[in-house]
Amino acid sequence: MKKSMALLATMLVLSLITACGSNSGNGNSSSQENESVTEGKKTVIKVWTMNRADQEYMNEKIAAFNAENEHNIEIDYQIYSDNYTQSLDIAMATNEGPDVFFDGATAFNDHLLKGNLAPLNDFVTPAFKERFGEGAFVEGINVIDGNIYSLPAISTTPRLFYNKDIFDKVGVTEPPKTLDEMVEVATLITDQLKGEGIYGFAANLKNPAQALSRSVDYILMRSGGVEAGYDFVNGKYDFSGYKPILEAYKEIFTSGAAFPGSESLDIDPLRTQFAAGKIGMYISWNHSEPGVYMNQFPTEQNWSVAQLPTIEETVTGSQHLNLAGRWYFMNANTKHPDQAWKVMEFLYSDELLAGYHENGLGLVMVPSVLEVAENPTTIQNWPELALTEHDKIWPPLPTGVIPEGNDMYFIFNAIILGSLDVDKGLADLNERYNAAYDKAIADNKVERIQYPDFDPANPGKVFGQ
Amino acid sequence: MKSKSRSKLNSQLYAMLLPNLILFISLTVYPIVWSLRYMLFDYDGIRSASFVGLDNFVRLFTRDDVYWSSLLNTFEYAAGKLVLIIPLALILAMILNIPFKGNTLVQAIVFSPTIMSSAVMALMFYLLLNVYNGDLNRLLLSIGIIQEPINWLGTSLAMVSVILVAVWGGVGNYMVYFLSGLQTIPKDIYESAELDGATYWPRLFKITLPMLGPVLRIVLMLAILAAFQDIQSIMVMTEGGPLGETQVVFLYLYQLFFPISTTSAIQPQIGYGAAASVVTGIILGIITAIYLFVSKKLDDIF
Repeated sequence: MKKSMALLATMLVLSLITACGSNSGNGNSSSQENESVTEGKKTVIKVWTMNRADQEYMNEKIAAFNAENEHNIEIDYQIYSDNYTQSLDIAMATNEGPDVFFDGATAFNDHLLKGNLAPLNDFVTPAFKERFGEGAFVEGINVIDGNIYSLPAISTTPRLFYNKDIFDKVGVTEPPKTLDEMVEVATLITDQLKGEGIYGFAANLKNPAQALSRSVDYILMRSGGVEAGYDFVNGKYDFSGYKPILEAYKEIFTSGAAFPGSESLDIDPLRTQFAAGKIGMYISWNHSEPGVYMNQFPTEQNWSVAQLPTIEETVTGSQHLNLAGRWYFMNANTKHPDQAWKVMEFLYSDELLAGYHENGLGLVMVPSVLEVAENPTTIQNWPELALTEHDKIWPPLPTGVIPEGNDMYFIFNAIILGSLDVDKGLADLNERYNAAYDKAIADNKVERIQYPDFDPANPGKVFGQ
Repeated sequence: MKSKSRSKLNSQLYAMLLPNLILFISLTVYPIVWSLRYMLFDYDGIRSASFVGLDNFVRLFTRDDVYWSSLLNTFEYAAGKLVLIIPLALILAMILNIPFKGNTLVQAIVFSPTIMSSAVMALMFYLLLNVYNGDLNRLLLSIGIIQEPINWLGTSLAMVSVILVAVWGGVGNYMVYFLSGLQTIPKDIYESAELDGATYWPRLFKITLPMLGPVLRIVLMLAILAAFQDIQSIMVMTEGGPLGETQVVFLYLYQLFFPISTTSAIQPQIGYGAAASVVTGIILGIITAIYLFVSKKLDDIF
């Protein structure tokens, strides 16, 4: 009894201490804020990103900007990697959000409807706009009802990464061009080199959405199929085109040709094994992987880059350029819109983006930058990283479609690992995704998107490119 | 006069409880009520909520196989964890209740996983258990127990692995509970039993275990609730995979509120998540109530 009383007392004291602690903490920070307002003439502009790969370069540039700019602006640059979306959401909801923030693939759809994005039309001068070239401003991508919300800067799209040394060992001279060849090479490598712990193919299937949205989806687009299951021609979901791709993957993953443990593999452990020369091939983004093997996991392996394989020999479609069109947004509720725009001008400046491009941190697609920037060493070393005529901007997909049950990538994964029949799985996806889409349309959450003359080889045609 | 001093004492107690209460209400009760009110709505956190009546519950009970299989996984996980962790913790506590040299050191070692962040712990096991170069496989291979590396985090063994990691991480905690329970058993009972010539086993079953009853009852209840709520380590080790084999119900609920995707805009289903949370809460409440009713006998020592 005495013991429990003592315990209770201790807990009370502890909770008091923490309560006081947090109170005094608040007091301190608010007084600091006041001080900086009264004595400081500098306006602090908060910039948030989720990009860690360019940290060193950006920090250096921002430090220089903070020291030199004539507008008395100080950039407070914050990187949130995994929890970016949530942190941004919470900060915006409590009006503590950043003044300028990164798209990160979801921020546009998340925050446009909430009214958190500032239209930039008043800031974007004709001269500034011209720098971005023809067709840079696309309704639905960075323009809504004539309001410009963001500007293009970089883009990314997947490539096949392979280990040349391993290919040499088994006598393969060319990277695979079709899925059948990919299965063949993967099986050959595993058969011959399994004893040394070397396997033909790997995928980070611990997170199927991450692994398969950067591979299977793009193989289908390049093969003339749909994007993420959505058929623009008929204005509905149609997953049947995935069948040959999933069957090829299934062949690799159920025959034992794939890297063991792929089903519980994260992307970084996969990369360490690729860097250690244990993996023959895998598919990932063209903007991130070169930096990984130069800085994060330096490797002696002679690795290289190839275009994604296709279902048939010829390329009849094109790959969507991910991230294209949007990079940074301005918060509609910022207290300092003029200064925030100065910061955006700095972020989009030829000087900053040229360095970004030359250092291989991302493939910049702004014409005025490409005029002054050198080709990055990454593209000099691995020319297949560069964008080609088969890398294009695709129209936006429907948003707000939430199917009940497991998502497409979960089902794909079940098919690939051999626990679900491919026809059954794809039929189930067609049914559930279209039901969810119809419901979202009926609830006025989204409008049906349909382009009867959509051409996967030239997807920009539908928005006049 | 007496009542005055009493009310003074009361007000002191309330004043001391207040900070805790404020934090509890603002950080726990309020968010729960906030999200639960959406259980009759279709709400994704972006568009305004629309009233759908009982549709969320209809969906849960008639169309959502993922929920029910995750609930089954939860039962499997909880049963596996409890069956291993409670006897193990009890045995450890009984051994460590005997004074010997180095006793405190062993106690500290067994307890140490408890103070570690479960996310860090899970990350460590993720590396130890992997099939391509994990140290566990290397060890087993080198001493010749296995010929091929075992895919600990593969489809067939992932559940076993997350249970074993949970046992490793939690056993020290329950051991401490049992140890403190054992130390409350008066020594003179043992002494008189010894005088009567009772050997170790009769003493264990006739004195130790019955006298531990009330402690055991609470420890079991805490263990059941904890086993249902474990998601951190599972999230780090397998993210509920492969193929949903380790998808437990609280992880599923978490993902309805906070879907994680780096590539596409996946919207939260706050309305549906709230409805599923209510049902899960009721199921857990029923289980706890049944347990407390069934285990009543454990409280009757004398």
